[in-house]
Formats: sequence, structure tokens, C-alpha cells
Amino acid sequence: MHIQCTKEDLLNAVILVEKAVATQNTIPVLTGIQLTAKNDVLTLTSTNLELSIQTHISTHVTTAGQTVIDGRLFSSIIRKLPNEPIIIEFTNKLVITAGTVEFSLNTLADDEFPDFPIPVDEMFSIPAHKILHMIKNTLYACGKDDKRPYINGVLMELTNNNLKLITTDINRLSYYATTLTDTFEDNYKLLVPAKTITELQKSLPHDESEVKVFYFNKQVLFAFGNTILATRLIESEFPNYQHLFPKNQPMQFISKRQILLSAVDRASLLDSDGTQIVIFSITDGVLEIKTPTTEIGQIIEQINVEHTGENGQVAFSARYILDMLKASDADQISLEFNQELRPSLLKPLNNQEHQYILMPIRLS
Amino acid sequence: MTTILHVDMDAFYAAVEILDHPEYQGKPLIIGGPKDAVRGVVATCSYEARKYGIHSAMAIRKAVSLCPHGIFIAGRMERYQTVSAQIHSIFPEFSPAVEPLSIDEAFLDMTGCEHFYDNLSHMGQCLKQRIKAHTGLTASVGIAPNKFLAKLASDWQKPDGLMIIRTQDIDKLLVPLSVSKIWGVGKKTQQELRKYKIYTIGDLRKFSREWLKARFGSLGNQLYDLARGNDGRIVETHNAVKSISQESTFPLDYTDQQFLKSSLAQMTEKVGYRLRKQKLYAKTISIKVRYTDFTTITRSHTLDYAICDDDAIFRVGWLLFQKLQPAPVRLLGIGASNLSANQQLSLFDNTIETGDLARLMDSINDKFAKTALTRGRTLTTKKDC
Repeated sequence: MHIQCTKEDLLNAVILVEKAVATQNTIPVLTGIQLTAKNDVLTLTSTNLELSIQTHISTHVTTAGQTVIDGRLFSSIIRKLPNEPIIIEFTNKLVITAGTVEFSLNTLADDEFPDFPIPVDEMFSIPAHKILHMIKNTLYACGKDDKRPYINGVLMELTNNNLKLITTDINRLSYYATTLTDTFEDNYKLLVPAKTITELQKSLPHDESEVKVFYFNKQVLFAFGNTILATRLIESEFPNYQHLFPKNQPMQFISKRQILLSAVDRASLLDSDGTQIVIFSITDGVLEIKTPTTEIGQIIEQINVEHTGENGQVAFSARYILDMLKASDADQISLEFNQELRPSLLKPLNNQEHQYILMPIRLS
Repeated sequence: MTTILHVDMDAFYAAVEILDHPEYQGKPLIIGGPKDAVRGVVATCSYEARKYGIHSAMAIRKAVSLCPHGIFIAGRMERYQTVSAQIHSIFPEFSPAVEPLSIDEAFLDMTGCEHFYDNLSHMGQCLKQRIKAHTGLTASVGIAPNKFLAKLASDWQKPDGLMIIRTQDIDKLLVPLSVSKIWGVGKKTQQELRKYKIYTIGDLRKFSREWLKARFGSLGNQLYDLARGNDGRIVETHNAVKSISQESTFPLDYTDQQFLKSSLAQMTEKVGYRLRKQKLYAKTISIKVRYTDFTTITRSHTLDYAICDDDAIFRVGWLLFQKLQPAPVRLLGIGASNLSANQQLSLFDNTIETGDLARLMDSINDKFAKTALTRGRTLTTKKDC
């Protein structure tokens, strides 16, 4: 192998693939990044068996070849190389040269490196900025619990020409639906690990470029630009959630998102028993946002809102409210609630795409 | 300058028994189980029994071999709790800042109350006399500038002791003491300290704070300060319940899963009942298991939501237990912590209904008998007993 490339190209590629480099070395070769040079393309591949990432850079390949190099070391070296053309050669050692700097490194056994899946069966494509927006408004509601694997993932539901992302940590559920140009004959429920979606979020460009999504062999692949991200799915049943959407709630108010956000943010300064609790108490168009009285004290704030329905009050985890309000870019939001300790609904006004269901806190 | 008083009843359970049974007076009395109890440990014993080398937490069988003519009784917890309540009702007469430590122990912050008494010794005498007059029992009292020294002082001249530690006496008193007297130093730490030839508090004082921190982490700081008689802990009056737990030592070492499951279920009912009575919800459930060789392990699991019903507590506890290697079990316990008075409700679990059901069962049991309503899984052991 003998190739030449720029530091910028190589570093960008390394930053992409290093996210899937295994940290625990149960299989030593997985701690490496696979380099493949062929037909003027250098391909970098990494996998921790759950998540795999592959990216290509156009470069000048003098001699084709393939090897695996320690991922963490390779990444550190590339970062610290001088800003000069980089030459990578491999015969029995990997030699990295940039200007007058030369690293000569031992490599890992290439034949044990798993094959990267070849994308077949494209399901749908979606503009990157659109799926990023959906991720931003759902990912925060994931949880972490080995006993309920479904909360560790983002449910991708596909029906007709709809894509829905749904997440829950069992106390709340975030739902975001969008219409695609593709139509599906079958329904799909794919539970993608939250970790994968986090990496996808970091890797996707914030533009109109298309992300192609493939599904086969219990794996989902996201292809964008020169990069493919492949993930295993969580094999767990996502609970039935359709019945949870609250209907005909007795109390409802509409508020400017930014005003509500600032008020709840202030109320979250007081902590009771390790949880920041915010109480919404609505009386004739005035919303009182307050905290329970604790040893430290209490916070009360009043804002005017557009109020429909009855007067009443409800308590929530302030963090749950803030997560939604911070991620949303809606100008106005509405909260529909009840006093019977049943689910409430927080959503952008005049927008059925995004809905956020949350359970209240029962106060002592 | 703060004045902290530590009061500790002398051989409390034994003293109550002697009070109720004057015929036990002057005899070696051991509380923890009848003489033929195959198992069980000494909860406490009279000072006469201590002369035979008997101490609390010793196996009853060993105590019998040390003192075959001793009086062995099982103990009456309810009676001790009644007397304990009488004693604890006295403390607020002496200070508004009382931290109850256990059934027979408390810290009183006496700062600012000094001028009510001729001197500190008079202060201690007054409390001792008040307890004696009200209950007929003797207490040992320690008075010092902080909690650590006050507790050390009350232990100094037991029984019926009174010891004052003044700032100028600290060095003289502490230096020759064993490191085991330091709060937080158990057998393991003591072994670790021995590696560096640290046997006494004097030895410990030769090491720098940095050195101790490097080897013992945050305990290092504590060792450094306490060795110099410095203890900044305040008397915590509003003692919010931090955890609720229940454990029991079995008459035999059990491997039988069915037995262990039902006894865990029984203890869970008690924990759940106490949680609900105090209107609390727990996020963390833990179990404690002691094996034949006395190795003791605890395991815990923290949920994303808070629970108070027996089923949910049991489910977590039993799952934790099943993850352990099966081996004969001597002691089993279950506890709830990370407590809160408010409950985050869940979308997918019927936490409201199960909580309501549990409270309904509690009210039926309160009205009739403790065991009027129970779950089938608790029954195996009751049949066996």
C-alpha cells in the first residue's frame, strides 16, 4: 500500500470512524481502524459489532493494499502531524510520513476484521437537516435500563409514506412524524440504539443532502456523502403507545415557548428530594409557575397565557419540561393536562408532527 | 466553641430485662435467643456476661459454650421500643437540637446551654439522674467539643459513666488509643493501616493528609482530622428517613430458593408497609446476603421512577438475588433508599393502581391483624415454621 492525501481529508475521515472503534479489546482487532487503498480511494472502516462506520476519501493510490491500525493511536498521530501532505505506506509495517516526521508502526491482524455490510434494499431517503430536526426533538427522551431494552433505543416506525421517531424513558414519550417521498407496502418498527442515533447526529451535515436508509439482515444502514453508518437493532418490543395520546383534556393553555422556558428554568433552581419539581397552576388565564415549598424556600412566578377549559394544577419534573422546550423551535406551545394523574400533552401549537406525552408527579 | 453530649444506655436490652425481672440482677444475662437456639446472635448481654468474653454479634452457640449457666432469652423488641420512647422523650428537655442515633443512643447539641449548669460534669449528672428517675435505667454520658470525642467519652467509663473531654485533654487522651476507636475504621481499614505499622492514633498522626488521601481516598481526610480530634459534623436534628430496611438471620443456612423467595417476600411486605405509612417512595432497592462463612454482600438497583408497593419492590429485590451465585444463606435482607415524598408516575406501569392496592391492603391489615391479607408467595415459610 502506498497512498498520499491531505491532513484535512484524513483527519475528517478519522473523526468520523473513530466513534465506532471498540474501547474494550475482547477482540483486539476491533480496537483498530481498517485502511483499504484501491482505485484512488482510501476507505477507513471501524466497528464495535453494534455500530460500524465506513468512509471514503479520494486520494492518490500508487499501490493498493489493506491493513488495520490501532484506532486510538492512529487518531492521535493524525491530529498531531504537521500540516503537510501525508504519505502512508504499508509493507510489513505501517509508515506514516508528513514532511520530516515519520512514524513506523506495527499493525493488527487484518484477516480477522469483520466485513462491512454492502448496502442493498434502500428503504427511503430523507434530507439530512430534516432527520436531524426529528432526532433533536426525540433523542432526549431516551432512557437507560437493561431491564427494558426498548428505552435504550429510538423507534423508527414506517407506515405508508410516514416516518415516525418515538422515544421513551417510561415517564415520558416524544413522538415526531414526517411525510416522505417514498411509500412502504409493509409496516416496519425498527428499534435503533440511542448510541447509534447520537453518533448519526454528530456525523450528519446540516444541509439538504440526502440520507439514504437501508434495512436488511436485522441491520439498518444510513448512507450520506462518502460515509455509511451501519447498526444492529435492539431486539425488544416497543410498548404500544397509541392509546397514550391524551384527548379532551379538561385544562389547556398556550404560551410563548421562550417565556415558559425561562420561567421553568428559574423554577428548576429549587430541588426537592433530588428532583426539580415545577407546578403549573392555572386560574382564569393566569399561569402560576411554582415549586413545592422546601426547607430552602419556594419560587413563584406568574405569566399570562391563552387559557381554555377549567382551572387546575399539575406537577412535573422540571427537567422533562425543559428538555422539550429547549429542543423545540416552535414560537408557541400548548399544554393539555388534567388533575387525575393521567398523561399530559405538550406540543408546538398548530403542529401535529411533534407531540410530547408526559406523566405528572404525584405530590405528597 | 460547641458542646456536644453523647448519651448511650448501658447494656440497654439487658437492663430493661433486669428492670422487669429483678431475679436476673447480678447474673450473666444474654439476649438474642434461647440457649437451644441453633443459631441467632447475641443482641446484647449484661456486664456480668461480658466478663465471660461474650459480646454482641457473637453466635449464641459460642456464648453458651463460654457461659453455660447464663440466662439466655429471646428478647422483647416491643418492650424495648416503649422504654426507648420514654428515654428519647427526655432529651428535648435538655436541648432543642437532638439527633437520635439508635434505640438507645443520641447526640445532644448543648452549645449555649452550658450556663444552666454549674459545670459540664453537672450537666451530665442532671441528664443521667433524669433518665434514672424516669426509667430506672443507667446511661453513660460523654461531653466534648464535637461528636467524635463525645461518643468516645461516653464509652470511656461504661457502665454508668460520665466523662468530659476538654480541648486541652485531646492530645493526651487520643495519642495512645487504638486506631479502631476512630469513626469509620473497621476491620479492613485497620488491616490496611497495620501494613504501614499504624496501630495507635499517635502512629496515625505521623502521616500527612496528602499521604492518607492518596491511600484511603476521602476516608484519608477523615482519618487525618479525627486523629487530631477535629470533627466538623453537626448534630442533625431534622433526621429525614434516608432508608428503610429489614433483614433476618435464619435458624439454618438455606439454599432452598422457595424458602428464600418467601422470606424475602415477607420482609418486602414490612419494608413496603413502612414506606407507605411514612408516605414515601423509593427509587433504589437493595438486598443484603450473608453466607455461611460470614462474607456479606449487598447489591442494589436504581429505577427511573419511584415505587412503594410490595410487588415492585420484591421484583427488583428478587432479580438482584437471582443474579448471585447460589450458596447457603445465613442472613437475608432487603431495603429501600433514595426516598422521596413525591412520586414521578410512569406511562407504562400502573404505579397508581398498585400503590392504591397496597394501601388498601395496609388498611385491612391495620384493622384486623398484621397478616389478615398477604400474598401467596410469603406463605411457604409460615407453613414450615
